[in-house]
Parts: sequence; C-alpha cells; structure tokens
Amino acid sequence: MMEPNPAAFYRASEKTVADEALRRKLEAATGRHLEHVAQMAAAFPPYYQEKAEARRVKAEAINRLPDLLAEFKRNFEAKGGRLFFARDAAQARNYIVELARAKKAKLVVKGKSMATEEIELNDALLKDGVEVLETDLGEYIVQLRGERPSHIITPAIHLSKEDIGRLFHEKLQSPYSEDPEALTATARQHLRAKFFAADMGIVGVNFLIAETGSLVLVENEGNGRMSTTLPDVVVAVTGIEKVIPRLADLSHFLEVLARTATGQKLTAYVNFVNGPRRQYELDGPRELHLVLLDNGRTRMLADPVLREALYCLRCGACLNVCPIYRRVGGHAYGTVYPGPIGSIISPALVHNGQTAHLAFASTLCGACKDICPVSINIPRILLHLRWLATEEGLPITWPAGPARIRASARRAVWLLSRPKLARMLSRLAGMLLRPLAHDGYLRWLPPPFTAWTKYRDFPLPGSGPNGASQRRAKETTDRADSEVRL
Amino acid sequence: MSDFETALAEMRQALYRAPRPLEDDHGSLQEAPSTLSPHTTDTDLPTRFARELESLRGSVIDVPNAEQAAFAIAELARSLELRSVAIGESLRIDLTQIVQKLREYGIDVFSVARVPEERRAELRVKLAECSAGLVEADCAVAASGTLVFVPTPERPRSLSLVPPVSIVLLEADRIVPDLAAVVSVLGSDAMRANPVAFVTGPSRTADIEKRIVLGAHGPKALYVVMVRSLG
Ligand code: SF4
Repeated sequence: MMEPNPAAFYRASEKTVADEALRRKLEAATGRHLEHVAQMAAAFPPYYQEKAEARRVKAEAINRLPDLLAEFKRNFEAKGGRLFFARDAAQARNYIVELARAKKAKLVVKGKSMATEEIELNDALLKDGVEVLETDLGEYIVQLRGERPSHIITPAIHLSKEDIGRLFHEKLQSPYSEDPEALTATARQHLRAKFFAADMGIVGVNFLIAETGSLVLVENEGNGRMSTTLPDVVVAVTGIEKVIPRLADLSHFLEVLARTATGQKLTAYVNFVNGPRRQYELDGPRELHLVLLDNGRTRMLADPVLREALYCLRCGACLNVCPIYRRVGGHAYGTVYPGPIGSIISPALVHNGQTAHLAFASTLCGACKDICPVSINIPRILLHLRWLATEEGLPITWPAGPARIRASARRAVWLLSRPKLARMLSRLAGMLLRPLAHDGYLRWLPPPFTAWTKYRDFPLPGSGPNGASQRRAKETTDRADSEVRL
Repeated sequence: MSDFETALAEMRQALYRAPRPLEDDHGSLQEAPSTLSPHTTDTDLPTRFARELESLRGSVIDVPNAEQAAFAIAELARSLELRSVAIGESLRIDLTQIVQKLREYGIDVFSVARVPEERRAELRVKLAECSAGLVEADCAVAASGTLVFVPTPERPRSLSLVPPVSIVLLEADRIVPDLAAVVSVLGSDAMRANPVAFVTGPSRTADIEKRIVLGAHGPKALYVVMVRSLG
C-alpha cells in the first residue's frame, strides 16, 4: 500500500493528471454516470423529497446510534445470527481469520465490501493460507491485477476494456477479447464453480435494520446474493453507522441510492439476510456472523461537524462529480476510500492524522454536497478538517511545487494590494501577449509562468470581466462543475 | 460490561459531549411517518410494471388465467429449448397444470422444495445444472419493474438466482405502486423472517467501461408470466 502523505499524493496526482489515457477513461466513465443520474432525477419528481427523507432518517439513526445498535443486536441474535463487535481493524481481522481457521476454510468468496478493504482482510486471510476470491466483476479485475479498487462502486474505472481483455488473456488463459459481454461471460464461468465450492462467504452490508435484525445488501450482479446463499458460513462485515431504525425507512434509501450511484431506478438485487438457513431449506448459510466495525467511527461521532460524515451510503457519486477525483483518479489518494468522502473519513477511520492533507485537496466547489443522496455537507467538513489540522499544527509538508505557489501567492498579494499598478501591468501584458492569443486565451505563457499553461489555458490579461480569475481546462470540459446540478 | 456495552457507552458519551449538530439542518429527530404520495399515479399498474421491466430487458407475457399460463410457459420452454426446470411448491397460482404441460413437452421438471439434509448436496448440483427456475413472485412494484420474493423452505431462494433463465409467475393483483407499499402488502413479519429478495431485471454489471452487460452472476434472462385472474 502506498503511504498516504502530502508528497506522495502530490507526485501521484502530477503523474495521473499528465496521463492522457487515464484521464480519458475517467472522464468517459464519470461523465456517463452524471448523464444517467441527471436523466433519472429529471424523470422522478419525488427524488428531492426522498433525499430529504433519507437524510432525516440518517440523522435520527446517528443520533440514536447506541440504542439502535442494541436493538439490532437483540433482533439479529434472536434469529440465530452471531454478532461480533470489533473496536478496530485488527480485532475484526483476527475474528474472521480465527473463524476461517476453526471452520478449516480453504476457499472464501467475497461480495463487494469497502469495509473489508478498510480492514485489509484479504491479505490477512491469504497469509493464513486461505484462498480469497473477489466475485464482484470490478473487484475481481483489480484483484487479478494485484491492485486496489480506484472507485467505491466502480473498482476498475481506471481500466479500459482492452486493459481487461489483456488481463484475462494473461491470467485466465481465455482467448483475447475486448468485448465486455465476452469478458463478463469469462468471469462468470470462472466464478460459478467457486461459489459452489466455497467454504465461506464474506460480504459487505448496505443497511442494518434495527427493528427486524435484518442485513440488507444492494447490488446488481447477484454475487452478493450468491455469496450469502451458497457457502455454509457467511460473514458480513460493516460499520456501525449502517443501522437504520425501521423497516419502513428502507424504501427512502432504496429510492435514492441506485438513482445516485448508477442512475438506475433500483439495482437488480436487494437482498435481505435474515438469520441462518432453517430446516428443510435448500440453501442459505448454516452459520451467519456479523462483524460490526467501529474503527474510528465513535471518534467521528464525538465531533459535531464530522458526525455528519457517518450518514454516507457509499454510493460513490461524490467521486464522479469531484473535479479533483476526475483528474487524479482514485489511486492517487493513497487511501482505501478515495474522493471527497474519502478525504473526510480517512483521517478518522484508518490513518490517524496521516491523511490530514487530503482536506486541502479540494476546490470546495460543492458539487459533492449537491449530488449526495443524503446531502452531506462535505465542503463544510473539509473546511472544518483544515481548521483542525491548522489548529493542531499537524505537520503537512507539501513538496517544492506548492512552496513555489506560496511564494507566487505572496507576490500576487503584494501586487493586488496595489490596484492601480496591477491594472497597468495587466493592460501592458495584454498588449504584449495579444499576438499569441486564440479566442482570448493563451495556450502558452513565457517563463516563469509556463507551468500554468502545461495543463490549462490562461485568459488574455485584461480581457474578461474578471481577468485572470477565469480559467479554462484544456481539451476536456468541466461538465461536473457546470452542467449537472441536481 | 461486555466490549459491546462498553462501546455503546462510549458512543453515548460521544453524542452527549456534542449533543446537537452545529446547524439545524440535520433533520428532525421525530419518528415522523413518511407522508409522501405514491410514486406513480398510473392506475394501470400491470402495464406500468411491464413497461419498466421491459426497459430493463426483462420480458413480460400477459395471460388471462392459469390455464393460459401453462400454455405460455410450455411454449416458452420449447422456444428456449429448455431441458430441465426447477420448481418449488405452489404459492397462489397452482403449478400442477404447468408441470403437466412441461412434462408433455418432454421437459424434466424437478422440485427443490423442503429438502431433507441428506439430499441437499445432490439437489444443489441439479439446480446448478438445470436450464431454468420457475417460481411465483409474492408481489411486484410497478414504478421500478421489481419482483419481490419471500423465499421459504417451500420455495428456496436460489430458484430465482442460480439457473441461467428465470421464469416468474406473477398474479397481476399483487402489483403495488411503489417500494414503500411492499411492506404493507407483505407484512413486516414475513420480511423479518425470510431471506426476502427484490429482483429488478436480469442480473447485470457495468464494471467494464460502464457498459451494461446482462447475466453477471444471476440469471441472464428473466421472463415474467403475468396472470390476470386466478378464476
Ligand atoms: S458522501 Fe454522499 S455522495 Fe459521497 S459516497 Fe457517501 S453518500 Fe455517496
């Protein structure tokens, strides 16, 4: 795993921003997602009401968290489920590794789960000699590549169909194809047999219902349903914040989750896991375990601003609208959870101060808050975390680039506090540079400003109403910033 | 105190130390029941359901009664060249006629209902190798084209999951307008005790360049035989 720190983040972003192919893939995938979401929202007038309801329920759930967890535990155990509370990642890992040992499990199939990424479960199991197979297609692909998912719900968003075709050809000895249909069929065939052979299924959870003690899994492929139906032992892993009070609350979340995550009305599957299999039942697990993970969440609860981050449904939409994520991709963050939500939860969940710099990697444009199905005020939390980092004097040392920027910012402050001089210089620069301009923009600036025009055009000084404050991205348009406003 | 109770006490502390969020936009804490109106004003729920499901590349076959359902399913089985079909016990729609018709067409029909422990392994293999599963949905949602199953030992959950083709019987009267209505129709006891599944279209993935492909892990094809009247 890449150590998350400012220098690494800076270097990784610089690399990915310059990677034209990656940018094209990210733009295409995130852009397509935004179109779907916009269409879906337009076609469904109650969308905003449902969002408000979902937010109201989450607020209630988080404010009553201890009581709801106790209620959930009672109801879950009454049906024969076994609940293990894990204070941190290590406790969760150990419990599952011990369980696999006790059951002499050789093969584990996994449904999609960010929580198991968070506790780095796969490595622990592999080290113990257990074969672990991701069964969500995207997760399967990144596992074959020995990578980490670069997106919460589209793990292989950074790969093209050609990349995946080559990967399958190499690792699965299937004939080369770049047809998504053929590639999916190959994966299905490989994983089918594994589902039936697996000793244990490990899955994530979208909702815990306190009133009924149910686990609810939301998915499209059917792998979550397979993983909770076929193996004899099923272990679900999830954070404490996933609990909702009542069964009747669920529909509000289902109405917004898929719409925001993928632009669907509803995912292909919503599965309830309600205890182990009963007598005469063909399938379902003999044993059902739930690992309830704190791992920093109570710390978030104690901070009245940060607390709101616990409303997150992990829909992934804030990643797709984020102008930073769309440029640097998920891997650059160096954290399990990338993008805006990652920047606000990573400090508490995993890295203990090591990721404080991510709060500064945002333009605070607010697109994440607008698209969020439960309207988490991410920009406010980012500002709060910046304030905390400064207040606590967390050592955030950026590499040379930003230091240069700080120096030029000082010069700019000097110049801009002398408006007459600034205007005169700007007019002069505009006159000198006019021959180089196209459509009022400069594609190239002379040193020491060349670095700017490496990635962005610069407006001709003295031309626009706001002069130098207007920027334009090269080649791609910032659709996220302008057109899609939900 | 157990670890869990200690943790709950710490959460209470955390909430107590900062009882209220900074701004009052965190929603009210009352258990206000939702007052949202139904999400579809369509009065013709079967038509809406069919339209939604077909937009997801599922197929709907509309039949007037159970007898016609038997014909339709047998014809479907023949055109898809199904060799074997797994079933459970009847729910509202009687399966006897359907099974008879399928067998007339030379199709092997076998039951996976109420399986004794010693036959599990064998029937799991049989289910994995069969060509289709036939099961009745407990209800359906018009606004999203969703089928709702309440699996029991009589109708195990993998019937609508493992076979590559899923054939679903649905009584048209059991179609409700939206998701919120499902709880009131099924009752919370049924949803608390059984491995309920909402199924919306065939299994799908969009993990490769966001292109939709059907049949990721679950059924590649979904046929709903909608029965207008049981009489
Ligand atoms: S913060 Fe909101 S938009 Fe982002 S992943 Fe969580 S629920 Fe989705």
